[in-house]
Amino acid sequence: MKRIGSALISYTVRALAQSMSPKVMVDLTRKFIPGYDLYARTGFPSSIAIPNKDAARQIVTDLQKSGHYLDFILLLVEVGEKGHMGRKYAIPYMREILGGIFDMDLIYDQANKIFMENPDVNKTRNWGALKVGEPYTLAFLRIDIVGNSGIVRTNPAAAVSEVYDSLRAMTYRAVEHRNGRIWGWDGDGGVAAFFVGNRNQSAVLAGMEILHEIYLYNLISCPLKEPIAIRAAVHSGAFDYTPDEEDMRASETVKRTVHIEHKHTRPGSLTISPVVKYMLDHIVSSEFSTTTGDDQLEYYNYSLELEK
Amino acid sequence: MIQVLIVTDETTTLRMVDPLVKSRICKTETIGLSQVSPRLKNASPPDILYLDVTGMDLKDIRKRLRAFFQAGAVTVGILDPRSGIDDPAELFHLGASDYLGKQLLKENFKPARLKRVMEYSEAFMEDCEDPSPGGSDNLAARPTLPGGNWDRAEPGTCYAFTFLFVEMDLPQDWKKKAGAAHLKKVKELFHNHIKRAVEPSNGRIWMWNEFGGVVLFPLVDDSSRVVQTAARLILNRILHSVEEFPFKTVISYRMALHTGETVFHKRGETGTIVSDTVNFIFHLGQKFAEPGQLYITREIFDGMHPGFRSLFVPEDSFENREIFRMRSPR
Repeated sequence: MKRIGSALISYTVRALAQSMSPKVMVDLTRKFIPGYDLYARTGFPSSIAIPNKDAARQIVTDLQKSGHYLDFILLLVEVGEKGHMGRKYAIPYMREILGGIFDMDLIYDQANKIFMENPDVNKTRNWGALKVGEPYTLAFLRIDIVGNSGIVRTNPAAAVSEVYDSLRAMTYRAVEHRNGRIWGWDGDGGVAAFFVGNRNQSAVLAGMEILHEIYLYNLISCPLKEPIAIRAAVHSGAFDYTPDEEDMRASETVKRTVHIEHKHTRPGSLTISPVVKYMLDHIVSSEFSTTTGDDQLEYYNYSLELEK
Repeated sequence: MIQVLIVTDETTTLRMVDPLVKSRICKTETIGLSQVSPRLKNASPPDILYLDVTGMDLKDIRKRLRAFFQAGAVTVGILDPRSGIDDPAELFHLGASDYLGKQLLKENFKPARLKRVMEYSEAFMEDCEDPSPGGSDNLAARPTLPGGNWDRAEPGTCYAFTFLFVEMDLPQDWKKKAGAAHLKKVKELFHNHIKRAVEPSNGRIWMWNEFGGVVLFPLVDDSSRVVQTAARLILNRILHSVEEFPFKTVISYRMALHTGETVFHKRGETGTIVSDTVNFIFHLGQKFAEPGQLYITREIFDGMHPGFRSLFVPEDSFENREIFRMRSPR
C-alpha cells in the first residue's frame, strides 16, 4: 500500500477542524485508540481549550501512526451519512479524501463498507483489508478432482501433471476474474475465498465457469485416457481471518464447504448450501435443482447438461 | 410473365388481391397455408411468393420464411391485411422483400409493384447465387492475414477469415417500448460484451448494426479456437447475463460461423464490399438461425478439432451448404 500523502493528511485535518469540536474528535478517536488523551498528546494544559486545528492535526497524526487512519475515514463516512450520538455532521472535503485514498490504489467496497486494494493494481491474500483474528463473512469455493488416485495410477506422470496444471490455471482465471483468492491448492484441487461484493454469487459463478471450461477441455485438450471431472461446492459463513493455511482449513465454514463437496456432490457438478442459494440472482439460482442429503438437509446442485 | 403465388386462408385477403389475379401482366395463383409445402415441393418455385401473416407472430413468420427459402422461393413478400405487425422492418431483416399492410393492400397491390420487388430482391441476392454460395471452397489458394496480425491487413486486399455472425434476440415489440437511453445502453453493453469475448481469439468486430454484426477472425489451420469462443458464449450466457448486463434477465443471441474470403476494408468503410461470404453469413444468421443457437457450416465442422464434433448436430442445409447446430444447454 502506498503511504498516506501530506495532501490527504491536510484535507483530513481541515475536514475534522471544520466539522466538529475536539470533544467529538476524541470520542471518535477512542473507538480505535481506547483512553486516548488529547491533552497529554498535545501538551496543552487541561485548563485551556485546545484549538480545533491543533486537535485535528494531533489526532490525524496519531491515527496514522497507530495504523487506524483508514478505519477512521470509514467512520467519518458513516458519521457524515448517519450522524453521531443523535447529531448530524456535515463533513467537508470527503470527496477529496476518498479521491486521495483511491490514488493509494485502494477502492471502497460498498458491500463490506471497507477500503480494499484495487484488484487491477494489487492482488494480495487478504485484499489489503482483512485483519488477522478479526471476524468476517466469506464465501468459499471448494474444488476437488474426482478419482485422483486412479488418474495418477493409470496415466503417464507428464500427462497427469499437464492436466492438473490446466485445472489450476482454469480455477485461478475463474476465481481471480471475480476478485476471489485461492487460499489453498493441493495439486488436485483447492479452496478459494470470496469477500468482495456479492461474494456468494461470485463463488458460484466461478464454480460454474470452471465446470464449463472442464467440459470444453475434455472435448479437445485432455491427454488422459478418460475425461476429467471435478466436484465443487460453495458455502459461506463466519471466518476469523488467518493467513495460515492450516488454521484456514480448520475453520468451521471451510470444513463445512469441504463436507458439502465430499458428501453431497455428484462428480461433474457443483453443490451449494441454502445460505448461498438465497443470495443468488434469480436467473442463476433457477439453474440449480434441489436435492436432499443423507443428513436430511436441502442442497442445490448444478451440472452442465446439453440436449441429446 | 411474373409468376406470383399468394398463400392465404383469409377470404378478405383474397378479395384484396383480386386486381392481381385478374391482371394479364402476371400469373397469380392463390393457395391455402396447408397446401404451400406440397406446392413448393412438387412444382418450380414462383418468382414472388406472398404470405398472409394474419394471426401469426414473428416466430411463426420466421419459421415460414425459412421453409420457403429452403424450398427455393427466394423472393417473399408479406401481406398483413389487419396491420398487426408492429415493426415491418423486422420482416426485411428476416429476408422478406415486400410488405403490404391494410392500407397498401387496398390501394397499391398492383402488377407494377411486382417488378420493383423483383429488382430489389435480385439486387440483394445476386452475389450469393453464382458461382458458389458462401464463397469459394478453395480457401487454401487464398491469402491469409500475415501471421494473423491485424496491423498488416491491407485495405482492398482479399483475405480468408472465419466469419462470426452474432445478433441479439429481442422480443418483437421491445424496441418500441424501450426508451432511447435504455436502447443505447443495451446496444453499448452488447457490443462491448462481444468485443471482450472475441478479442482473446484475435477476433475483431468488423460490421456492426445496432444489436449485432459480423466478427472476423484471421484464418488459421484449425477453427477450434473460434468454435471454442462461440461455444463459451453459449455455455456461459447465464454468467454473462448477471455479470455484464444489469437487466436481471437472460441475454440471448444467435450466432453463425463460416469460413470464406472477402476484400478487407477497415470497420466503418465496408459499405462498398461485395462478397459472397459476407452475404452468406448474413443470410445464415438472419434467415436461418434460431434465437439462442449457434450454427456452423460444413467448412467449420471439417476444420475444427474432431473432439468438438459431438457438440454439434446436423440441421437442414441452407443455400446448398450443410449446417450444424450446437446442442443447447438444458
